[in-house]
Amino acid sequence: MESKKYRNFLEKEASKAPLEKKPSDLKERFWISWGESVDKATLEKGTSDIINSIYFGEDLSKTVVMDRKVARIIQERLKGLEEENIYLCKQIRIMKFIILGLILVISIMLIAILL
Amino acid sequence: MLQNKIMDLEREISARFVANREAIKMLVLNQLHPRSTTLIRAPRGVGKSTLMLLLLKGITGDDFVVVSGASEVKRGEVVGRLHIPSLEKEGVERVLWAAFVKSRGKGIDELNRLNPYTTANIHHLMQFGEVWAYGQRSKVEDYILIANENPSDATSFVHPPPFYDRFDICIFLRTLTLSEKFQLQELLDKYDWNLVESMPQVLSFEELQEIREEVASVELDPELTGYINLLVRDFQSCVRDKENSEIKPPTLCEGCHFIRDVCGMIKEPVSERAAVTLTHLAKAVKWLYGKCSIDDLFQIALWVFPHRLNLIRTRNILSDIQDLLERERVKMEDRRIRRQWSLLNELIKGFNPSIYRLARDAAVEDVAFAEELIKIEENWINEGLLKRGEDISSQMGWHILSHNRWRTK
Repeated sequence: MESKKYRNFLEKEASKAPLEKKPSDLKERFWISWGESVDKATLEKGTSDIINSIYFGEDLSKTVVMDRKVARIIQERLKGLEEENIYLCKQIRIMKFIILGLILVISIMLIAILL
Repeated sequence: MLQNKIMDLEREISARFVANREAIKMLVLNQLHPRSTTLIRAPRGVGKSTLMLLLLKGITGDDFVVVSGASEVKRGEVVGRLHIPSLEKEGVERVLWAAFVKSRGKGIDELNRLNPYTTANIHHLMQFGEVWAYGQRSKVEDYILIANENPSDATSFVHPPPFYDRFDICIFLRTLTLSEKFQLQELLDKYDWNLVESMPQVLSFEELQEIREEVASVELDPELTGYINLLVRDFQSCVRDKENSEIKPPTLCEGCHFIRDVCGMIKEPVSERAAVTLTHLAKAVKWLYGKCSIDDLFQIALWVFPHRLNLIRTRNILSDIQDLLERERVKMEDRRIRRQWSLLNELIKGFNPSIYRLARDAAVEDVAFAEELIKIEENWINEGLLKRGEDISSQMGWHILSHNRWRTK
């Protein structure tokens, strides 16, 4: 015995976040994709997608959902930034040595000229 | 308008009770359904009894009786006593029903000190709406029952969980901040140190009954009803059937796929009464404010769950439940992103391998969803669309709904 209210609940939720079915080459098989969700503001304003917040500057909602792929992207990006940071630190250190060397050379040259 | 009367009641109580606005709001909302029962928990001297009396007076005027658990309360005072002259002269056992039974407003002070015999009588009253004494029964009319207790008080008796489960909500009061203490002193001066005496009767009990009828006829959206049931189910479900297991979490959860889920934090789950109370309160919110949102539902749940469940670790019950509810919101959002209900809606119409594969992926991450999918799988197995062993419960070793399988075949 299935409850009518239960069916209504499923239908209402399904209408807010529909599935799109496209036929495939194989018989009785089809591609399923997520349809356009109309359920955008039931929880609160702002996005729950961290990527939208990082790249498009949207405000975050109270709840942020991150799937494994997004976490992986962020992890990769952080790793890349860390590597870049280490590389730049090395460059800065080398530049400091060069500047010190140049100051030393210029100072010696100035002393030599003055003498 | 009756809504205005309820607003006035809340305003009159708030004018005499400092802070704890959320608790007062819930206390008033919980009176809007028949035979309402409310439990107030707070440390000593915070105003449990005052708040109880303010509400009783605001609704029933003087037609209320308060029994105190701290004193020696006998059955005769709470339920009824034998009329001795009738017995002596006529040999007839006539029962004089106690004022507590007959009054519309019932208050119990220091509930945790009440003796088990009186508790059993009150438990029966709340369960069946009647009382028994000397083999005679008395039907109890519609009422409001408010009890209070100090959970950290050393008590003589520990009441059973089913007794506490009969209370619709449990509200917690906090001590006052510095500025609030000044407010209280001003209030006491204003009302001549007698806050309860100054409380007017804002509405009659007949008006309350009319309101209760109106609230009962309010229709909730299928979406909201769905979320009420889902919320309660998430606080109940367990793939290892913890309700009937002798071993309880966290030991039961060792090696479980869902160990980090909400279910893994709950030792004793909530009962079905939680869903009934949430429905009553959601209807009350809709009647009073015109609508009830998912956010309102989560706010209400905070007062419906604390006395109904046991957590594996409790630091502060309200904060712990708040954390679980936050996780529940994330879970509900996750379900939406995965289109779980859309998948289930398609599968209910008929078997489809592509959708079924997606639903299986979702089911391994969600017990409540898995239960519904397993039920559909059982039908498919009976129809020969799926073989036993290919279904998710066989493959994952879950025994949800596995009892009485012979009946459904």
